[in-house]
Amino acid sequence: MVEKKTSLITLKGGIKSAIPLTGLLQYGFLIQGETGVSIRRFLIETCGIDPHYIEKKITTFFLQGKPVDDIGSAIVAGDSTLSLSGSMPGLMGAMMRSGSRYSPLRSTITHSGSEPSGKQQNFVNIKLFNVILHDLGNFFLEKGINIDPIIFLDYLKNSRANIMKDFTEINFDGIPVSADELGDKITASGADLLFLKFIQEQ
Amino acid sequence: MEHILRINMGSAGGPKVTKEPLGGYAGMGGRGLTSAIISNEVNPACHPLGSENKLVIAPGLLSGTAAAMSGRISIGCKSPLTGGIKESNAGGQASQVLARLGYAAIVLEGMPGNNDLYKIFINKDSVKVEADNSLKMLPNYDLIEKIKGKYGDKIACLSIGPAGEMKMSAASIACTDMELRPTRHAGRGGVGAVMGSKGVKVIILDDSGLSNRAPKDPEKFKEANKVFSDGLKKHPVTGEALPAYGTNVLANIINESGGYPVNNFKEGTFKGVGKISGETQAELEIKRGGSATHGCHRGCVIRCSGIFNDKNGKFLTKQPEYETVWAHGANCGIDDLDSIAMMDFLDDNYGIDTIEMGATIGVLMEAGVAKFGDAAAAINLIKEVGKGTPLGRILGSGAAVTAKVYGMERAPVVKGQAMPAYDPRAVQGIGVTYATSPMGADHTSGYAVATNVLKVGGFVDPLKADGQIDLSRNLQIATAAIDATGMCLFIAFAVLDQPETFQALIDLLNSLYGLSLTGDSVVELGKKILKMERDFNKAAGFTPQHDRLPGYFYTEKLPPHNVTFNVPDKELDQVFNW
Repeated sequence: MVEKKTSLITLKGGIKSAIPLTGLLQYGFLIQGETGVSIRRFLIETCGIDPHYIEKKITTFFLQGKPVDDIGSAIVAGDSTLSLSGSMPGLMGAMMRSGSRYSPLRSTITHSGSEPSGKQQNFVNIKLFNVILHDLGNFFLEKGINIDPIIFLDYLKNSRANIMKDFTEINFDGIPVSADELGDKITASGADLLFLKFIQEQ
Repeated sequence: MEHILRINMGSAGGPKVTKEPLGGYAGMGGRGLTSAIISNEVNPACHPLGSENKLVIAPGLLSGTAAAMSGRISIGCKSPLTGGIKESNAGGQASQVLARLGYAAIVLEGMPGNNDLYKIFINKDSVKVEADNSLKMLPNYDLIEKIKGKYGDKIACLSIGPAGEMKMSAASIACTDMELRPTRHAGRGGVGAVMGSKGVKVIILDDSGLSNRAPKDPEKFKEANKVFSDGLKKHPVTGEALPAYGTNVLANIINESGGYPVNNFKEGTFKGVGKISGETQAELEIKRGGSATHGCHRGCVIRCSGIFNDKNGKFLTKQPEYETVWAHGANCGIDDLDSIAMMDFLDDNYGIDTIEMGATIGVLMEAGVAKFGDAAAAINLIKEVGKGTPLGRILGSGAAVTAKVYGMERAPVVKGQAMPAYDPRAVQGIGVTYATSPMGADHTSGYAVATNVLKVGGFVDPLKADGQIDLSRNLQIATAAIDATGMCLFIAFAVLDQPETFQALIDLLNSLYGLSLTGDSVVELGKKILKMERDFNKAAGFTPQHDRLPGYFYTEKLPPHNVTFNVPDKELDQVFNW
C-alpha cells in the first residue's frame, strides 16, 4: 500500500452536529482494513457493522459498480469500491437487490465471482446511500474516515448550509481552526488524504 | 361508478352530453377501461388529432373508496406521439372525485367546428360544457388560480397548458393535487394534445355532498384495507425509503449500477450525481421549509412526493421525481437541483411530459444547439416550447422529431416515445420492456412485481440466464392488471414481498364489488388488457419491427461496463406468446 500524506481533522460537537456532514458519505470515503476477504467479513470485521443489521437492512450491494448477489463469496479487493443501500423502489430497485428473483433482468452487469486474492491491508472506497447513510453516517464519522481532500472541499463549497456551524471545536493536525479557515488549511497542507473524525461531546 | 359520460365536442349545435350505463364495459376500470374503449371504438388508422380519436379518462376499480393508495387516474387515446394505443396515468385528486361522482369514465369525442376553448364542470347535479376563451393559452398554475376563484377550492381539475392547446406531441394533462396545484401529470404520449384537439382546456370536478363509494361488504373491506395499509407501512421500501427520500432515492443506485443515462445516453454514470441525488434533495427541501414526505392524493400512505421551495423558502414546484431529475439533470449534464426544479415547474406549467422534454433537450445538446451542462440554456429551451416558437414547436413534438430535424441518429426512442431513466444496455430486462410494450419506451408498463405470488406463467428460475423474456411478459401482465385498479404502482414492492398484502388487494376488490376474484383472475385481466392493446397497434400498422430498440443500442458500448443490448429479436417476439 502506497503511503499517502494524511492530515487529521477532528470535529467535536453534540450528537446532531455531524448530521449535516453525513451527506458527504454518498460520494465515497476510504476505510483501511484487511482486503481479500468477503464483503460480509469486511463489513463485520473491518467496518464493525452489526451482522444483524447487514442481514436485515443492507439489501443492495455494489462492488465495482456491479450488483452483488452473494456477499459471502464476493471478495473485496484493495482499492475497490463497495456501495451499500437499503431496499429501493420500483422494478429497478427490486432487481438490484442482493439475491433478487429479478436479477436475470440485469445479468450483464451482475458481479460474477471474484478472483482469489491474498489478504492484505488496503484501502477500500465505501459509499453509503439512502437509509444506510441515515443509519450509519454518524457511526462511520465517529469511527473516522479517510477522504480525498478534493471531495471534502467540493462538498463544503457546494453545501447550501454552513455544515460546520454546530461543531464546538475543529482541529486541523491538532491545531484549533475556525470553520472559515479550514478550507485554506487543507489546501495549503498539500495532503493526499484527510482523516476525518467526529468526537461526540458527552 | 355505474355510468360513462360521453361528451361529443363536435355535435351540431354545440357539445352534447350523454350519460349511459357501463353496459359491456362493466367490470373494467382504469387502464382496462381506457384500452377497452379505445380498442373497441377508435379506428386504429385515424389521425390522433382528428375527430375519430377519443380521449378516455377513467378512475380505477378501487378509486373513490376508502382504500389506501387508490387515487390513480388513467387517460387513454390513440397517441399522437407513438401512433399506437396509449394509457397514461397520474396521481392527484381527480380519480377519487370522478369515481365518487359515479363515473367510470369520461369520453371526449369529436372535435368542435370552431376555435372556441371549453371548460367542463361536473358535480352531482349536472354537467356543464361552456366556451371560455378567456382561458386560452393560460399556463396551468394561472389557469387553476382563475378556476379556483370561480369554483372554490373543494374541486379537482384536469387541465392542459399551452403545449396541449398547441397540440404538441409531448403535451401532458395536469391533475391537481391535495393542495389544488397542477403538479401531477398524465405525461406520456401526448394525451394533452388530444385533449387540445377536442377543444377542452379544463375539466372541473366537484364532489361536494358526496361520500366514498360504499362496498358491498363494508366489514370485509375495512379489514382488507387495514391489512393492505399495514403491509405497505411495514415494508422497508414503501414504509421507509420512499417517504424519506421520494422516488429520486434511485439516482445513486442506478448511477452506481452504470445504468444512469448521461448526456443523451452516452454513458452510464454521472459525476455530479451526489449533487442531485434523492438524499441531497431531501436534505435541501427540509432545510428550506419544504417537505420530503407528502402524499399526492388523499389516502396515500406511502407519501413519496414532497415540496420543493426556492432559496427564499417560497414554493417552486412539487418534489421533482427521479425521472424528471434524471431527464433535466444527468441526461443533459446538469447537476444543479434549483435549475432542475425550475424546469420541473415550467414543464408542469406549460403542460409537458418531463421525460420527453429532458430526452429532447439531450438530443438538442448533442446536436450542438446548446452545451451539455448549460442549465440556463435548457430552461430557455423549455420557455421556447411554452411560447410556441418554431424551435419550441419542434421540441414540443418530442425527441424523435427533434432528432430528425437536426439530422441525428441518436434518438433514444421506441415507437416514437423517449426512453426513461434506465439505460437498456446495462439493464437488459428493462430494454425488453421498452422494446415490446404497446406503449412505446415505458418503464412502468413492466413495473409490477407480483410474478411469483401469482405464479404467472409458472415459476421463473432467477438463475436462468434467459429469464428476461418471461419476466418482462409476466411483469407487463401484472402491471396492466394493477393499472386497472387505480392503485399506485408503488404498492408493487409490498405485494411482491408480502403475499398477505397482495391477497388484501384482491380482498378489497372482492368486498367492494361482491366478487370472488383470485390471483388467476388478476392475471387474466392483465392478459386481456395487453391483448387489446397489441391488437389495436397491429391494426394501426405496427409490426414486430417496431418492437426493437434503436440500432445503436445494439452496437454502441455503454461505459463503464461497456455493454450493448443483446437480447435477440426472436426472443423479443416471444414476449406476448402465452
